[in-house]
Amino acid sequence: MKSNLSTPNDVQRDLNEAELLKRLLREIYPYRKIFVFALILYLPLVGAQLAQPVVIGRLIDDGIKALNASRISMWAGAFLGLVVLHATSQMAQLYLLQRMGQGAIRDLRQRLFDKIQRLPMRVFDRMPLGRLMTRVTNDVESLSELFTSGAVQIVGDVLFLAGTAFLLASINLSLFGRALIVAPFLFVGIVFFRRAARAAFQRVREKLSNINTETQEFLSGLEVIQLFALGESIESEFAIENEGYMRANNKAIILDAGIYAFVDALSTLTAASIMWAATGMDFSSGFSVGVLVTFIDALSRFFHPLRELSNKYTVIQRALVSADRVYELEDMEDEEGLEKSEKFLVKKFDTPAPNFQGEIEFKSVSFRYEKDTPILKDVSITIKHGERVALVGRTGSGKSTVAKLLQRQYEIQAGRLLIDGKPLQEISVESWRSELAVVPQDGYLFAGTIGSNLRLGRASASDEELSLTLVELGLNELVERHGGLGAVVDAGGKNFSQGERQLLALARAFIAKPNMLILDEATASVDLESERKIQKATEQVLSGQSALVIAHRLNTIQSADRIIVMSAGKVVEEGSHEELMALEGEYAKLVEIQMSEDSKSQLVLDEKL
Amino acid sequence: MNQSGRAKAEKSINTAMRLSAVRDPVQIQGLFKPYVRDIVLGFACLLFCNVGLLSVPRLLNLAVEMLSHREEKGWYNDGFLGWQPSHMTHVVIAIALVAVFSALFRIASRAYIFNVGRYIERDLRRDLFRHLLTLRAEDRPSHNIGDLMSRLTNDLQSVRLLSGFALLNMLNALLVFAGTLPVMFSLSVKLTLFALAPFVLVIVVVQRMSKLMFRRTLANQKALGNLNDVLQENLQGQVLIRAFVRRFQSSKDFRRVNGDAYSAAMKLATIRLLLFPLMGLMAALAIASALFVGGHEVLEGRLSVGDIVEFNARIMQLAWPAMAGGFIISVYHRGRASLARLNEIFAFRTAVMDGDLVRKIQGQLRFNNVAYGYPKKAENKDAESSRVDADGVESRLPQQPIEVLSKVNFELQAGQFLGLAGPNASGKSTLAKLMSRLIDPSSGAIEIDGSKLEDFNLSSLRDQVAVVPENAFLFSRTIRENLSLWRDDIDDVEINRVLDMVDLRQDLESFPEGLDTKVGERGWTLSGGQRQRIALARALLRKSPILILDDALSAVDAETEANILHALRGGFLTGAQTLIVIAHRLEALRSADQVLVLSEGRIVERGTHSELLALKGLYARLAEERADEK
Repeated sequence: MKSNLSTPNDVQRDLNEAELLKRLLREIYPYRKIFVFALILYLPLVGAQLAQPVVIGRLIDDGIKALNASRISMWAGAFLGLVVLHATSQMAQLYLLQRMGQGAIRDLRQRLFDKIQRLPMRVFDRMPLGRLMTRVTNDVESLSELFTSGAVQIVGDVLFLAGTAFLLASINLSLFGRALIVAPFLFVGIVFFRRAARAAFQRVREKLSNINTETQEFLSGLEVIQLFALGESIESEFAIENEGYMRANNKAIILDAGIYAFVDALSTLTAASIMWAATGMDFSSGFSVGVLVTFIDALSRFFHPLRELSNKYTVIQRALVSADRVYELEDMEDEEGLEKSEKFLVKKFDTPAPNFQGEIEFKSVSFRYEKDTPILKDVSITIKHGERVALVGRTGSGKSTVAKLLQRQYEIQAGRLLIDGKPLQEISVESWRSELAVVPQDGYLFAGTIGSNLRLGRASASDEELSLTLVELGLNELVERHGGLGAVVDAGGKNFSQGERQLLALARAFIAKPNMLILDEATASVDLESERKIQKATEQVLSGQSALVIAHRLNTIQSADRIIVMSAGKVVEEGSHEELMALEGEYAKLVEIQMSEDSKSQLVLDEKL
Repeated sequence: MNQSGRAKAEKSINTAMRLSAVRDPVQIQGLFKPYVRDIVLGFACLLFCNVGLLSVPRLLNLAVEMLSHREEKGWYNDGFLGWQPSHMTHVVIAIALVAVFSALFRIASRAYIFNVGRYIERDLRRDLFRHLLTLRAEDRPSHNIGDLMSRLTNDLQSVRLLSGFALLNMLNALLVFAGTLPVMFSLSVKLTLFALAPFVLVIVVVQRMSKLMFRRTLANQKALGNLNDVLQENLQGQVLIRAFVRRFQSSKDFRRVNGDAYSAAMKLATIRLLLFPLMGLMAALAIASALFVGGHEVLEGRLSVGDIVEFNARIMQLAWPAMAGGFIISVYHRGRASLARLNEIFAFRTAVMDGDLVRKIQGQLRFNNVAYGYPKKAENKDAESSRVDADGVESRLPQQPIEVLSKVNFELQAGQFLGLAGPNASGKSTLAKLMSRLIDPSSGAIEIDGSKLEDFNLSSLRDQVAVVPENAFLFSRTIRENLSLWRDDIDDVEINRVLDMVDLRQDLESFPEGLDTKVGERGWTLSGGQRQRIALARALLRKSPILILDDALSAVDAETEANILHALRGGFLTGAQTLIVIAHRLEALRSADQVLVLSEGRIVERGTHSELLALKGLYARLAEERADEK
């Protein structure tokens, strides 16, 4: 199994069912002992079930009709034993199968999750979040049905079918022959009903999803509906969906009831025809009423697995489709340059000297996202150790892309990106990233506590260290207001305002003690008051720290050692604020736009940039 | 429920009935009422089906007896009950006929009774939805859409199961037991008692276990929900996970919730895997005791072999209804609890007084001492005092409301442009809501063209007073559908004219399918500014005499905003429409005939833009802050 996991080159895929089944089988390989044991349990299970009608027959012939009281007790006792044996082995088997199936999907889920952590960033651009979610949840879940019931019970059904057939044939071959006449009808009937029912239930699901979508949407838009007095139109549209859903259900109900009624009726009809056939039979040659009762009883049990088997086929088909999607994700290539183990992460804080001097050099770098127009064209930038460099430019000028390439979220396509003169590709990607700390645009926080969020970049930071940093940045008040370092943070940081999230993200980056700090438009979307606070804290953080600051509010970067102006994927100007202003070029124009009295407001700039 | 539901919903709009505390407006009996015919027919089919099914064991008994006789004595031919091969044929034909008809009646009975559940589901969903449409925001039991959705899906399903599944199985169990027990008792009282003992156990066990199963199902759903949350958060934070090299820690976090999901699933599975074999065991126990006891009865000559065979068949028939009995009990309890949650929605009534005045509005507007406050939450509805003040405007306030607006007085002539400014939460949006009667004032009166707002027919009023809220909600439909809003008398010429006004024509050209682009589909997302402009366009298409923009262009840049407002004032409105603009960017109010500055629910300043700037009060300060931001 392992060898397969690490094969990186998956060229193209078509639904190869045999291959998929083989891989699915490998999923249960760690549980092979359980699996074998569950299979062995079929012996007592099927045996007990097959023996039940035989024992009843013996009880009638040998006990009751022979007027033998002790024989009656004996056979009744035997029956009781069989019943208990059947129930206990069934429970044990179901339990084992659940253990195996649930265990296998737990493992698979974990593997997929870990895989996602290793995927290159570009996969996320291509694949919407919802789709990735579905792979790990719904698709894996639909495999569980296959593992816990589907696959293994097919073995049981077939065993049971064969055993019953053997029993029936050994009781009376010609009667069994007669009974088998029914089989084709039964099969055709079941297939017909199943098909119709599947289509009907599919329709029900579609209608249900329609009605739920519509309900959700109309409830969300209730205000608009009321404002525009749309109640009547909406109501009649909803009524149509509601009626359609009910109609679809009405149809499904009949088909569903039909399957069971059909199988039951056919089973009774067969019993009747066997009775009728028995009328003309010679009872002297070993055939008796008891045997007949046994035969009819066993026959009724013959129908059940037939019904089940047709159901299993559907389960397998569905599982294969899911398996294909799951394995497609698993077969994707990993990000380049990943470390195999966790150990390297510790290293950084054990060695006192920084691993990198930190001179960064972009040499004629070009880059484009998949199939897009080029974003960076022949860009050369050098950032020396300890230097604070600002990147400015309009939206789409490529400044954020520079930061992403520096973090090696994407691989450069032309030119060279050197760290201390060494190509970035030759350095382990994660050890490089742990030298950096990023403050992204949206200030995303994870569910947990404020403390756990601040420690994101350095798990070993002590409470004192955190508090000290917070005081330094003037954020201790904010944190206290929420209840201290132990205060709960909801997923995404929803219980904090945008400004607060941004401030905490800043502290988080600072606490990581990075070799280099990357601020990616950290004040882009916050209100005035928060912006001022963030600016103040930023200045604190930046003093004496090598940093790459991407900004569109130019007043925040005037004190940078060097300002690089980008336009349409190229570096157009470079220098200090004063130098660039004197140049009266692109930078001066940007500043002018921002400062100009009737430039309406910040929002104009946002739109134009 | 059919008619009564509609009547109920209409009543809540049409009458002036105030929030009256209605206990359980929907009763379970009331739900069944319109479908008594279906239930009776379904019951009849069930009866026929069961008569058929229950007679099969007797017929089998007869056949076995005949064959036994033949085995021992050969066919004989004396008297009334002579055993002849032709009799055997009759019995077999009887069994065949019974099998076919039982099957048909069985299908029919399910169709009738399960459909009743579906009818009731449809009625309830329709009534709930209709009711929710009439409820104003403040009268909704919950503002959480997730909660409302869960009531409209999960709770509705529980009620449906109660009214379909539980009903059918209850009737069926009654019939089967009623049909089987007397026969069994007539065969042998002793045997019957022995056979029944395990079934009593079945009912108790199933009921207990299905309760446990329900609890564990919820726990399992919750565990999967947690797993989804952790996964979703991880995916959303991928950039950070990589930046801070957190994949090993993330993996550990996921391992924890994944493990929880595993144990919850195992716990649920354990119940299931115990339940079904246990049921089989109970039925088999009954058979075993019947065989044992019955066998001895035969020895003593009290029963025949055929009786034993029949007895066995009857026990098998009791097995499912007995099992269902346990399920019914728990489905019933769950259904009742769910109905109570649905009744919570029905219990909230919106008391919008609907007038009958239908008139073309000119656009003259007067606020006379208007105040608005909302009752504090958790206020007992019964305790609310209802008073009518001098102006005849009924108040819906408890004694100590939270005041949002007070003493608002102003007058606006048709065709004038009114600006509203003020800090956050100063009551500006409340004013807009009052105008479209999303809320009613607690005291004071609002008049349009000299008539009170309450006297207007609600639909006619809302047709003529268009409010564009800041949050531009769009339906997940095409842009065209979002503009025409279920009206079919709007053509493209008109649409294009309005799109020009709101500066959206160019944007539209970049959409994959122009006007027929679906909002939010295939990753096609509109920017906030585009959404707001579409929301404005759909209001303009209504050609309402009064147009209210509630910070409706906040995500549009200032230049575009100014252009749009200019167009509104100049060409399109031709001065005939009254325009009210709530704005944060005060430049937008430059050409207003009058600007009101609100603070903490009161008008603190009024005048034109330039007058207010000269005043150097709150308005001037707000303008300064905006300038600082630049």
